[in-house]
This record gives sequence, C-alpha cells and structure tokens, in this order.
Amino acid sequence: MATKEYSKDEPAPPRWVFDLHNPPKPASKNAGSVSNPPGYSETSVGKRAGSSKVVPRKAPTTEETDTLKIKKSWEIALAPAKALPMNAIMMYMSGNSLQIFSIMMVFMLFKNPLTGLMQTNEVFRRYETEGNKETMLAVKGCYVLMQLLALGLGVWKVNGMGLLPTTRSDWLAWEGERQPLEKAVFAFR
Amino acid sequence: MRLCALSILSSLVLFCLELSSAIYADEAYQIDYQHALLGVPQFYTTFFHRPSANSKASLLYTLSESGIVGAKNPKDGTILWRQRIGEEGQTYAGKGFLKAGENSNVIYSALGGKLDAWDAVDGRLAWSWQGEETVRALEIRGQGSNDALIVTEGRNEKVSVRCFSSDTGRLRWEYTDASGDAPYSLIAYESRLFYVALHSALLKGSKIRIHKLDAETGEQTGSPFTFNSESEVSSATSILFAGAIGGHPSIAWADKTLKYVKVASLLKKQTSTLGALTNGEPIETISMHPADRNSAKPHFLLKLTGTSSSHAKVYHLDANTGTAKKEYDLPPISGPVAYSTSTHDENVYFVQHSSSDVSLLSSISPTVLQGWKIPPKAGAQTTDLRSVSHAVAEVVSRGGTKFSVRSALTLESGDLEVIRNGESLWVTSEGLTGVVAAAFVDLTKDDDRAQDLALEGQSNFVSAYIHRLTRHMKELQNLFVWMMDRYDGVKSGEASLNQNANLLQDRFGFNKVVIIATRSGRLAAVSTGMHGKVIWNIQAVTLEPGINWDVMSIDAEDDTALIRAAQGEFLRVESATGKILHHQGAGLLSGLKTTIPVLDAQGRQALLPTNLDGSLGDIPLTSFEDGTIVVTKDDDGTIKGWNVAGKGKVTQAWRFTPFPGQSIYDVNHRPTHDPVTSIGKVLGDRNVLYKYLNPNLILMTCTNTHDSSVTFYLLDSTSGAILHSIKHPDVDLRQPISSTISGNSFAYSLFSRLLSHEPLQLEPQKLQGYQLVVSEIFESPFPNDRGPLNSATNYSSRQPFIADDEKAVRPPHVISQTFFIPGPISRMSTTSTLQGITTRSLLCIAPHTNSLVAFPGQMLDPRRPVGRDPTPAEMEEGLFRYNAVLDFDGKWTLNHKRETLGLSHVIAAPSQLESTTLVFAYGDADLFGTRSSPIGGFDILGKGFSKLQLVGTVAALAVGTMVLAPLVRKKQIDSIWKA
Repeated sequence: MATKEYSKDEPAPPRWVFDLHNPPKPASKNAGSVSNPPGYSETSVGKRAGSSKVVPRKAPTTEETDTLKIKKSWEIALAPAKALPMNAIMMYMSGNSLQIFSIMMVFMLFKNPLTGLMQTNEVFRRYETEGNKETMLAVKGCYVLMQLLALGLGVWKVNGMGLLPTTRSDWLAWEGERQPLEKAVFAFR
Repeated sequence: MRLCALSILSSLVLFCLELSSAIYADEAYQIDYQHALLGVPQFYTTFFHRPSANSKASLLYTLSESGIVGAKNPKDGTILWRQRIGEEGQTYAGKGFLKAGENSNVIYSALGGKLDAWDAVDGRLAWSWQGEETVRALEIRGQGSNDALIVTEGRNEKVSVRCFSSDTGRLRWEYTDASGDAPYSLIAYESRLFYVALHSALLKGSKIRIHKLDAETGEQTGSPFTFNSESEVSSATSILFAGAIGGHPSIAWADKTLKYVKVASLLKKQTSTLGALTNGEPIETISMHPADRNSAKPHFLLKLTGTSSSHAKVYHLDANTGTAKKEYDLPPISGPVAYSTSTHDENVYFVQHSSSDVSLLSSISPTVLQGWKIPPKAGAQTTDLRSVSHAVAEVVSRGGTKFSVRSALTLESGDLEVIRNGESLWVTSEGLTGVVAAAFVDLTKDDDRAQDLALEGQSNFVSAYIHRLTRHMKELQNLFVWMMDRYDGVKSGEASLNQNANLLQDRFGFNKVVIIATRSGRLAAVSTGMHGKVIWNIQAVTLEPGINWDVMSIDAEDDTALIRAAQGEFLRVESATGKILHHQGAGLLSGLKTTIPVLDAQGRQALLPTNLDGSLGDIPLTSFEDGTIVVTKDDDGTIKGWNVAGKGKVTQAWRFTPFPGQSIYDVNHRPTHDPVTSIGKVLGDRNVLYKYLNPNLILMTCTNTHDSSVTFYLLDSTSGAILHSIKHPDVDLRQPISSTISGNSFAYSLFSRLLSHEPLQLEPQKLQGYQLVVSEIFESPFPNDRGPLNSATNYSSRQPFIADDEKAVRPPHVISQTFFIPGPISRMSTTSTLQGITTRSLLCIAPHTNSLVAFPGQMLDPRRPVGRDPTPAEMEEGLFRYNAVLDFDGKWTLNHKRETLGLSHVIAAPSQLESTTLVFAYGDADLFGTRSSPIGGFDILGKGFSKLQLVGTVAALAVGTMVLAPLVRKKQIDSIWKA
C-alpha cells in the first residue's frame, strides 16, 4: 500500500482525496471504537512481538499430529450422531401433519446427511496423512454410518408422515378395473 | 389435547357435511324449476268464481282430468291451492263434479263415492263424506243456503238423494228411490228440487222421469212426471243439458241423428223441438251453452260442429210458456271454435273463441259487440297448441259499449291459457300431466368446446397447456363481440336471462333437454337451462280413450331420441325440434312385447324383439359380439338370460324363477352411465378394501304375500348366479318398497318390523317402522385382498375362475346398515356425475311430504361404527357414529319451499362439472328439475364470489403501487443520503 507523495509545489489536495487514498484501518475487535494513533500499524507490531518475545514451541512429532488428527476426525465423524437425539425430539414434536415447518424440517433432515455424505472426502482431507490412512478409513466408515443414521431418522419421519408409498392404497391408482367378458342388455324398465 | 383435536375434527366433518348438501338461499328458485300442474281442465268443472262474498277478484277453479281440484290466480297462473281427490295414475275424463256456492267460500267436489267441501280461499278441507256408492250428480241448494245435494247410485241400483249441511257436512235428509231408474241430474229451483232420472222404456230408449222433492225436508211433493224421450234418448250421452237456463230448470236432448234438439221446461212441463239445425253438412256434435246464473235471462246457444266447420244458433226460452224459439244464427267458422257464456245482471253474453280471434256477442242481437285479434303464439308449431278445445269467459261491462273479456282457454294440447281482451296473460302446460317416462338428452351444439376439453383431458400436460393457451387466444379475439352481446342483453332486460342461460349451457353442460312422454300419448321437451321451458310439445300418438301409452324407455342417440313403447311400438324424434322422423305402430307382430336396442359386432344398433312370454324373437341378420346376454322379464314372473352370440342363434343362458309364493316386485340394474373412479376404498390405515364392481349386477325384489316377507336377490345377470340375498320378514306389502343399485352399493326401503340386537337389552325389542337399508359390496372382507381373481384384467362370469386351493368361488362381501326413516320412500335413485369421483347422494321421493330428498352419501356409509365413537383412522375416512334414526333433514329437501304434487320418479344425469348432477323428478302431476351438488360445488364459483370485487381489488392494488412506488423510491434515496 503506497501512500501517494505530494510535491511541495503542488497545492495540497482536498481532504477527501487524502481520505480516499488512505482509508481508515478496520477497527480491531478488542480495540473498540478507539482509533490507533497515526503511524501505528497493528500487523507490524504483532509480528514483531511474536517473533521477538515468545520462545518457539517444540514442533510436534508426526505421530503426535497424527494422533491429534485422528482424535479430531473421530469427533467430526461422531458429530451427526450427537445431533440425532435432538433431531429426533424435534421431529417428534413437529407432528406428522403436512405443514410448512414440518416439511422444512424434514427437508433439512434429508439435506444435511446427503451433503455430508457427498463431502466425506473433503471433510477428512485435512486430517488425512500417509500414516493414518487405515484408521482414517474406519473413521470415514463411521462417519458415513452416522450420516446414514441421520438419513434413517428422516426416512422414519417421512414414513410417519405417510409420504412413503409403502401401503396398498399408494398403488391403487395403478390397478385397473377388471373388465367383464360378457355384457348384459336389459329388456325391462 | 388429543380429545380436543378429535372433537374439532369431528365437528369439522359435520360442518362439511352440512355445507355440502344444503341448498343455498340464493340458489333456490334460480337453479330449480317446476311446472306446478293441475291437469287438463274439464269443461263442466272449470269456472271463474269469487272465493268469498267480500272478495273483488275472481279465481279460476277447476277439477281436472287428473282428479285434482285447484284454484289458480287468473292474473299470473300461479296455483293458490290444489288438492288431489282422485287416485294417482288415473284419468278421470268426463267424471267428477265441481260446484261453487254463491256468495260463500265453499267449493264442493265430488268424484267416485266421495264428496268434499273445500274452503274456496285457501283450499282447506271443511268436511268430507265418503260413501260406498258412486256420486252421479252434485247440486247446491241455493236460496241463501249452500247445502250440498248429491245423487248416489249403489251397487244394487239403489239411488239416494242426500242433502248435507254446508258448514258441518251433517246429513240433513235422505231420499231413496228404488225404482231402478238411472240417476242423471239434480236441479234446485227455489225451495224445490228436481231429481232427473232415466227410466228405461219398454221397447227401447229411455224416458226422462222427474221427481219433485222438497229441498228443505227431502220429501216427495207430487208424483213424478216423465217426458216421452224414448225415441231420441238411448243413453245418458244423448242428453245435452239438465239444469237451470237463467234460473229456469230445463232439460235438453238431441236425437240420435243429431237432426233436432228438444228442450223441455220442468216448470211448465212443456217441450219444444228445435229443428233445422244443419248448415248443409251433417252435424257431428252438439253442445249447449246456457246462461248459468239464476238472475240472467233464460237464453242459450247451441254449438253445432260439422266435419269441416261449426256454427251456432242462439235461442230464447220463454219463462212464461216454457217454449224455446230461435233468436239468431251465427255464421259458420272453419276450424275449432269454442263458445262460453257469461252473464252480467240479466244480460247474457256469448264469447266466441277461435284460434285467431275472440268475439263478444250479446244474446239478443247477432252483432259483434267487441272483437279482438289473438296474436299467433310463439313456438306453437303444431295445430293442437293453437286450437281451442273449450273455454270459460268472464265479461265485465266498462259502461256503454265497452267491455272487458277474460277467458280461460283449454287448448287441444291440454294447455291452459288465459287471455284478456285478446292479450295472452299466461299459458301453463297442463297437458304434460301423467308423465310415464322421461330421459335426459344432450343437446349437440355447434360449439365444439366439449370436444376441446376432452382433447385437453386426454393429451399430455404440455400439449394440453399449449392447446388451452391457443384456445384462449382465439377466444380473446371474440371478446369484443361477446361483450357487445352482453351489453345488448343487459339493455333489453328479459333477453339477457335467456342469453345467460344459453351461455352457461355450453360451459358447464347444465343445459340439457328432458324428453317426457305422457300417458295420453304426448311427447314434450323441457329445457333444463331455460328454467324448464317447454321447447316443443306434440301429440306423438293418438290413443283410444281410456288407454294409457305404455312407454318402456326413452334413449338418446346423437340428435334424436328413440321412444320405445309396448307391443313393439317405437318412434324416433329430433330432440331439438320434436319432429317425428320414424314411427312404427304397435301390434305389427302378435305377442311382441317390445324391442330393445343392442350393439352388434360392428358397433351398430340392432333392434331385438322380445315377446310377451319372455323369449326373444327372430334376430335380425346381424352377428353380435361374443358374450352378449339379453335379460328379459316375462309376465309370469321369471327372469331369463339369453345368449345371442353368433349369427341368428338364440339360446337360453339361465333362468331365475322365484320360490313358490314369491313374485318379482321390481328389478333394478346399474345405470348405463355409472363410472367408478377408484376400484377400492382406502381405509384410514391406508389399506384398501376392494369394491366388487360388476356392470351386470341386477337387484331383484321378490315379495311373498303368504308370509309377508320380502327377499332381495343380487344377481350376476350374465351367469344368473345369485351373489347375495336378504330376506325381511314381517313387511307391510301395501307400503312402497323401493330399491336402487349403483356402483358397488345398493339401497332399499320398506316398512317392516325387526328385532333389535342390542347386547345390553335382555329382551329383544320389536322395532317397527320405515327402514332404509344401505349396503356396499366388496371383493373380500379383508383389506388388501382383491378376491380370488386377484389382479386379472378380465373375467368371465359364465366360466368362473376356480382356484386350486380352498378359496375357490367366493361370493362378494356385503356390508349393510339399517336406518329408521320417518316416512316411506316411493322411488329412489342416485346422483350421477361425469367421472364418478363425487360421492353419490341417494335421491328419494318421500310421498308423505311430497318432497324430493337427497341423502348425502356420507350419512349412508354402511361402515359407520356402531355403538362406539369412531377411531381416529375411521374419522379420517369421514365415518362417524351410527345412529339408527335418520331424520329427513330439511336441508336435504331439493324442492325446498316449493310444493310439489304427485312426483313418483326421479332421474339424474351428469353435467360437464364433476360436482354437479342434473336432477329431474316427474310423475302424475308435477315436473320438477334442479341441480344437485352432493359434496358441494367444489369446481364452480358460488354466487357469493364477486368477480367485480376481485378485479377491483387487483386494480386498486395496481393503482396503489403506481402511486406509492415513486414515494417509496424517494424515501429510500433520502435515507441513503442521510446515513
């Protein structure tokens, strides 16, 4: 970011031109409404403090990071299962009638596991290393299972709402009337 | 919470029920129409009369050929009151008497053995007398007393003259004549009473014998005297008149060859012969029109009808000498002409009605006092709609030479018309009483909208949409013309209504034609779209007097209607004009009962003759499709099925003979148009109960007079197999038993006693009353079971499917429920819609209230839970708790406030709208038609929907948006600048 130098013989530009070229720094979250003094740059201060004052931590070994990653990925894999009881209660409470809320909830119930399943690899890519490939497969399997469980909850709900064509009446429209081979003509009133 | 929801749901269901089957106040009198009829008025029993001493206007009273006595308002033709005194389905031409007391509000009618006194103002029965004998004459005593005098003839030639007090009907006196003379008439004169009888002469003919009675006591005063009329009078028909001519008791009779007429004065015992009657051509009939009031001069007119023309002669009776002499002649008039007499003080006027004009004449001079031209009647194509059969007139003097004449004309067609000074006030189609058959006929219009709609219904969604869009674009081009039409219609008032009706007809299929056939041989078409207007009315067949036209059926075929009558008679008429295209008379082949149209293998119609003994006649040279069975009913009470497959071969397929003692009372089959949308009934738990659908089902009612039982049989008419039977013991067979079958359900009604099966009661209770039994037929009692045939696409009843296992041939499962109803049902039918989606209502004729009732289908579901509240699943199906007593809800009465009389049949036809059924009820007197929406008009906007309001709202919103949009935009920009 280069601040434009203005030569002395040129007339001083109006203030708004200066403001335009030097927009105020976005206020830091903790700083509140207090603006930084002129010439003070937050980033440069931070960098300087980090590099100079803190003693660098010992870099973790590959095993340690792997364990950490596995731990983290297990957490991610089990997350859908943790949401299941809440979802189940919500579904139970929303009732089996066809209303805008229950329909939206059921839609979400289907959408989340499906997108989750699609993004299985992306979700775990960050934690996947050469070393933990085998364990990761189990984690992924567990994740898929959990998402399927959530999906199952959705199916259960839809069934409860009577939207699954599982009964005879759902297929009644495809059954035709039996045609008689004989035809009677009546000769009385 | 749950309970609350349940109660809300059930109340909702009830609410929907109430909504559905009611007739809205703004639809009453709009969607329905009625021809309230009295029947063809008779000459001697039709008159103008002031209903009470202090009333100014007179009413038109008549006792019709249908045996109905009533009063009409001469101004607009509305029926003020009517009472049936004859039996239903009988014709009483030339029978019955109707007399009105002078200056009193009593009207006497006598028919058969019954004498009734009615209040002339409101038609209430004052008193009634019923005897074993037959009333031969009715007279009113006069002289300030309105006592009724009747002559009755018993079985053993016992003749009685009775006098009844006018206010209470108490018998004042009785005079008996055992001489064996045939009673003819009663003539009251001051305090005397002349009883006229025909005394058989020794060799041939009859003498007229007159007994003089004291009207106060009934005692004979003096010995009877006779007129020697034996050379002229052979029977009572020779007597032209017996009564008072201007208060002068007289008798007139004609000789057999109608060469001369003799007039006898009873007071002077003088006979005068009126000769030289003929006008060149031989006279066929003579009728006499005397001055009818006692205050008038004793003048009379003789109408002499020849083969081609008729003329009249006016005579004066000299009260002092009792001799009659001719006053003047009236010129002959060709074509039908009717005369009537009216008196004003002592002046006597004769009114001459021909098909083109009305002339008023005085009894003293042949000059026409005043004449009026009658404009030709609209729509009177046939001569019998123009020609006058008989007439009654009322003449009022307007001072000087100005007169006002009001006459009630009975036309040859039976229609009754009232004209005042040559201007037609109203016409009612009284000739359309006694309807024996009726059928809805579609009007084929050049407008091919129906075809368009059918096309859109069949093709796929996208192409249907494009088709519809193009259709609307085309219609948009005609919008301007249409709007101009509408504007013209609004300007011209009356015409707009008709245009409106015409407009509706094409769109919704509400405008159809009902072709009706009466027992007197008339055919007429009534338009359902134009408030029941009679489009055409013809005398289709000429029948002998006393013979009823026995019409078997009326079938619509394209633009024509085929009317089949007994003995092989059939005729084909154009349904739009009533033109007879083809007529084959009755009795061409002996023993022929009727002919039935059957489709042959090429899809053409062939008429198959059926004989009286129930067999089929020779088959025309056509071959019929395999499996065509003709079901006949013969006179000795067996039903036979005939196999007509192949060429010229007829073999009996099956025969149904009821048990000894039983006789077939009625046979019903499913209607020709009876579509069923769903082949199963979806239960609350989403399972399916499969309906038993068989188009060849017949429901037979067999009665047994020995043990008073009724048995209903459900038959497959192609194999003759009995699928189901129900026996009801202890049935009153004199009460009407009616039944109907439609779709997979049937219903019947009877009066019976049955034992209650309440489990809580220790002793079974006998319940007696009118019952309505509703049944539904299912393939199997178990849900999701399609019966032994399972998913087969076709089946043959004659070669029944036999499965290997135990569930071989299994009868269908029938679920029934019985309801107690407050009155009898004489005829029932079901509503019929285009696709059969709408729940059917049961249309019933309730004779005890003279009404047409439509029972909602939900009420009559035989699966309603008994003795418990419905489960939520049942509630979802719309089932509610069974209640044994089913009252006729006033909201179900289709004729709402209208008073109908003599309805005995009801037919229904679908409209283009699925929700709506056209209903037409007919019978001995009235014709009534309406539209019925069994579950509400779900596919049509109600009258409450205001298109103007909708357009107005949209327009207001548009204007509002346009006005507010710049304001809002300005405000938004301002707010950005202020920020």
